[in-house]
Amino acid sequence: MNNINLVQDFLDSALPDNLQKELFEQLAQDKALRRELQINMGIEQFARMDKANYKVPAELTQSVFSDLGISFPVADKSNRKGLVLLMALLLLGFIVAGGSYLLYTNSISKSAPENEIAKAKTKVEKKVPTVNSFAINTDAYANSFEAGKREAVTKMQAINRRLNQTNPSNFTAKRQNSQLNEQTQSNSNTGLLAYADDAKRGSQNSYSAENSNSFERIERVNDNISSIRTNYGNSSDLALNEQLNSPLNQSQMNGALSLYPINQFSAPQQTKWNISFRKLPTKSINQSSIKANNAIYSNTAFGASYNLSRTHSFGVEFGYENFSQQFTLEGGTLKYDQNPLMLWYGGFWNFTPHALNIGGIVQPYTQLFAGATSVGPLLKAQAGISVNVLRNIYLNIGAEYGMLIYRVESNIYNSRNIGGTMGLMFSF
Amino acid sequence: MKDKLSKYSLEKLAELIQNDSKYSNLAFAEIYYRLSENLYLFICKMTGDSDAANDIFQETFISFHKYVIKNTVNHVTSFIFTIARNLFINYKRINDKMRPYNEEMIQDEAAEQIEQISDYDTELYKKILNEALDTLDFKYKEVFVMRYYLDMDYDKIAILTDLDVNTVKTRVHRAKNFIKEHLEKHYKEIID
Repeated sequence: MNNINLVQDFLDSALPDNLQKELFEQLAQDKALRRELQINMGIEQFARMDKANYKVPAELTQSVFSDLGISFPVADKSNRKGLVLLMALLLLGFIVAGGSYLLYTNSISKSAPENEIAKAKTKVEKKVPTVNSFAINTDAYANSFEAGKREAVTKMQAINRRLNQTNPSNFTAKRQNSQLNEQTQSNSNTGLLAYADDAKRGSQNSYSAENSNSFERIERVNDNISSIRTNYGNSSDLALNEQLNSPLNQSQMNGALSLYPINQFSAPQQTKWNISFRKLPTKSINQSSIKANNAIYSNTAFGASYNLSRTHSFGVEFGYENFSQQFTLEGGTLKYDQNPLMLWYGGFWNFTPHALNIGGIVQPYTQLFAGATSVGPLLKAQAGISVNVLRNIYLNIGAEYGMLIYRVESNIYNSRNIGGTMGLMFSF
Repeated sequence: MKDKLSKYSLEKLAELIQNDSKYSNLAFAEIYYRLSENLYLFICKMTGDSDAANDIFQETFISFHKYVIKNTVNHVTSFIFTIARNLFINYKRINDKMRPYNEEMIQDEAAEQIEQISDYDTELYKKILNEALDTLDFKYKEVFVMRYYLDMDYDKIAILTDLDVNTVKTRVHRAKNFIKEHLEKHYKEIID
C-alpha cells in the first residue's frame, strides 16, 4: 500500500493500528506526505462545513406539498391528545384562579375611597343639620335668653356628637368631620355667642323678617357648613338648603371624585369590552435555518376581552405565529428543523394596576395567556404600557415571552419566542 | 393509528401511502422530513445552481409520490436518490449544451478568486471547493457528495449507486485527487 492510500484510509478511519504507526513515521519524515494529508483533510473539512449552508427552503417544501394537494405538515400530531388535555387543564386552572382572585378583590374594594364617597351622599344629608331651623324656631330664643342659649349650645353639641359618631373608617366622613370640627371650634366662641346674643335680642324683640341679625349670624355658621360641603363637589353655587336637602347628583359626585387621588385612566371603568390587534414578537430563541413564512397575517393576533373591573379583564385571542422547531427522530439520528406558521388560540387574563398610571394616559399592564395550537399548548406572558391616544383607543407597547410545548415521539420539546409587541386596543 | 409514524420504516411508510388513504399524506410527510435535507444537499451540490436544485428537488418528490401511490417500493432512499440522479442527468445533458464550461473560464474565475485572497475566509475556500467539485465527472462527484457532504458510509453509497464497495472507495479517492489537482493547478497560492 502506498503512502497516499495510507492517508486515505487513515482519513476514512479504516487504517489498522500497525499501519497507522507506519504512516505517522512517514509523516514525520516526508514533507510532501504531510502536505497530502493536509490538503485531504482540508477538502473533507470544508465539505462538511459547507453542508450547513444547505437547508430546504420553507417555500420549496410548501410548493412540493401544494403541488401534491397535501396540507403542509407540522410536528407529529399523532399523540397530541394528552397535550390538549394538559392545555385544557391549565386553562381551567387559570380561569378558576383568576375568578377567585376577582371575587377576593371585589370584596376588598367595598372599602375603597370611591365607594365611600358614594355612601357619603346619604350621610351628608343626615349628618349636616338643617341649621335654618335655628332661625325659624325663634320662639325658643324669644322666650328666654338662657333657654335659647342652652338650646343653641345643645344643638351645636348634638351636631358635633353626631359628627363624631361617624365611622372612622369612612374616609369621606372623616374628612368632613375634621373640617367641620375645625370650623365649629373656631366658631365656638363667636358663633355660639352670636346665637346667644341673637336669642337675647330675639327675646326682647319679636322676630320679624326685617330683624335679620340672627339670620346673619346663623348664616355665618351655615356658610361654614356650606364651605365644607362645597369642598366635595362643584356645587358651591347651589343654595345651602338645596345642597343639604337634596341627594348629590352625578355631576356633583364627579366633582367630588376629582378631589381624590383616583387616577383618571377611567376608560376600563366606563367601558366593558375591548377589541385588540397587535403584532407579535418575531425573534425565536430556537434558532432555525428555515426561513419563516412572511405572509401578511404572520405574527399577528386579534383579541376581544371583557372588563370585569377597573383592573381585571378576561378575554380570548387568536393569532398566526412562526414557531421554530428542532427535534430528532429515529433515536436522534435524524434531526428536523422547521419553522411553520401556526394558528393559536386561547384565553388571557389582563391585570392593569390603575394606581400606577402616569399622567392619566400611560398605564402599565401585565397579561397571561394560555392557549393551544395544532401540536400542543401555548403559554404567553406579556408586560408593557397602554397609552390612551384617543378617547377610547389605546396603543399597547410591551414585551412578550411565549412558549409552545410539543411532543415528538416520546420527547417533549418547546419553541420559544421573545420580543416586543405593539398594537391597538379599542374599548367600548 | 396508535403507533407513531415516526417509528415506521421508510418502506412501511411507502406502503401506507399506497394502501391507506387516511394516513397516506402523513406518511408522505414523514418520508419527506426524513429524506429532504440530504436529498436537497445532494441535488444542490450536484447542480451547483439553487434554481435548478429546487426544480429537481420538487420534481423528485412529486415523481416519487405519483409512483408510490400505485407501486410498491422496496428501497425508498435508493429509489428517491435514483429519481434525483436521473433528473440531474437530464438537467446536465440540457445544461451542458446550453452553457459550455471550459478550462479558460475556470482559469479566469481562479484568477478572480486569488485576488480576493487578502479577504481570506472559509466562505472563499468553500466557494473554491464547489468550483472544483463542478469540474468532476458525474460518477465521481456523486460519490464524493454522498461521502463527504451526506456523511454516508461506503456501504450505503454502494447500495444507492448500485456499485460494489471497492468501486465506490476508488471513485471517492479519485474524486479527492481530482479536486486536489484542481486546487493545485488554479489555487496553488492558497494551498501553500
